[in-house]
Amino acid sequence: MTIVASLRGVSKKYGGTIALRPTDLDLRTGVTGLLGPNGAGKSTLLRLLATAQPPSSGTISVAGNDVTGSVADRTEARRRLGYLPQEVGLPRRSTAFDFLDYLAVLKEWSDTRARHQEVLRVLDLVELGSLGGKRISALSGGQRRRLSIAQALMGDPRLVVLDEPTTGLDPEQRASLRGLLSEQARTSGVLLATHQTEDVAALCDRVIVLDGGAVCFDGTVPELVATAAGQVWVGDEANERALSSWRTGSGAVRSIGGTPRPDAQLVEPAVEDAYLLMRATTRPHEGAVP
Amino acid sequence: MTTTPWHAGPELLASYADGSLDDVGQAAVEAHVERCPHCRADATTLVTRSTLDPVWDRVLVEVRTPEPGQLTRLLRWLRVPEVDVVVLRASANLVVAMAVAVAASLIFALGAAQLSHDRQQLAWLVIAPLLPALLVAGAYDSTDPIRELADATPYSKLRVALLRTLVAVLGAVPLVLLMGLVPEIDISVVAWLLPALAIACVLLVLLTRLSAAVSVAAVATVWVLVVAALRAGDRLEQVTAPLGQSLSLLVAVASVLVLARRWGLLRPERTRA
Repeated sequence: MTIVASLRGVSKKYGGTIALRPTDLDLRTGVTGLLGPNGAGKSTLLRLLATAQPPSSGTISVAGNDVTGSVADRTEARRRLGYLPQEVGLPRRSTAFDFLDYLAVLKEWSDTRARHQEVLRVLDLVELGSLGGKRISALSGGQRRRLSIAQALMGDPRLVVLDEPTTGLDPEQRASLRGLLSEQARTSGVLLATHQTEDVAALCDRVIVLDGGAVCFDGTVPELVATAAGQVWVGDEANERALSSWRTGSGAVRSIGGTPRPDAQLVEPAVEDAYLLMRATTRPHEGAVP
Repeated sequence: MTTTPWHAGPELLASYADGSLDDVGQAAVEAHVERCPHCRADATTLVTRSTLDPVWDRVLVEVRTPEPGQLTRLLRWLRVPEVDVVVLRASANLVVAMAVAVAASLIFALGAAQLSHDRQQLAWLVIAPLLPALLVAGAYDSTDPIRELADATPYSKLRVALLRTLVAVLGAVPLVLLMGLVPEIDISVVAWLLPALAIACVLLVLLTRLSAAVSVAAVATVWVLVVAALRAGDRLEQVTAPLGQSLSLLVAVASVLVLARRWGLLRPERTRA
């Protein structure tokens, strides 16, 4: 797996608030999931990598180009980037096709036929192939989200940065997006910030957990899950001082952390359990900007 | 009509089928094949997938590309390069924001007509030349809903801004000229054009280095100071006098020269095949 982007001592401050503490990271081909509570610095990290904002300190390189260096280097890096911000204000009066056509021009596809072919290719990828001529104001929420994702996949990006791409998608669309991203990840690095721990479990070969603007876990999904081993229980009653517990559909109570009751049985933890347990131990860090 | 006694040989047909003849040869064989069922049948068997697929791809792209709208057709008719057509079409989404700015200027002009002649001239001179600059800055920055997406692309934002400025100014000029028809306004409406051009060009130069807000604040401050200084010296008419006009032209030309030197920022540096 080749390195597609690296951060060295990268930090970001907004005014006096620290959004990202000095961070070193290497991103490789494959899908990397970025977990963390709201305000942990996920979007900041993504914006810095996508060159939408400069860092306060440190250097970032994308596909071997120093984005914190010269304009030429930054431009070269942008040629190899696909970016989906958390919220895209789509031009409502434009058609889906025209919107992608415009972004393709901004991504330097100047040959008309090749550009149109690429626009149609990504429309097909997100299953909007028959809706190209429709105005964005007439598209549903899920269709708009898929349109936003399509623009991030245009060209052959080495690094694809997606901020909560599955928001507003139904289960079928989410499954189809997973297929799409895992295919893309064969040749490029895909970094996705998400609150959906199922997506991480199903898709990511690496997980980074951010909290309070700092990386508090960096490893594989099984490694993350292993941190919760021996701490998830199922019984008739909730564990004492459980971090979180709820009665499941089968009537048994699932508890994360705490002291188990005598009848409780240990069960296999999930990514979500590990994440919640990790949050409980790192909470003192809290206080970064949203 | 006589039948064609001659038939194209297999080698010639094969070259025709994979498109390797020169233009004249290709056209000649095509003309024959169209009339000769025998050769047409032979040629059909010689066409390979590798010849056919790109053709089919092109047909699919043509068929699936939505019909261009009226604006696109107009711009194409005006021979605007295709890439710029796409940028201008996307800018048309910002027309509402621009129209609001122009309407505001119209209301301002009507308001100015109620003031005394001296104040009218002052208000006019301060605001009218700044309007296109404000449109430029607006077009460059704050009104674009996909700014965050566009920021992360390699295409020159300055070039986008220039194209949008063109749209804004082309839209503003007729309206400002229309204002000249309001009988109470006793000011040469054309006089603002050169100062406005100069201010917009200086702004574009600043935009290559500074943020839109800082650039606008800078040009607006300098312009207000210039007008205030002229008024203090009771020489406001200098703006419309030949000296003021040629000075404006000089500033505009100088700014364009500076912009030309930074042309690397204006132009997409490389294109994809």
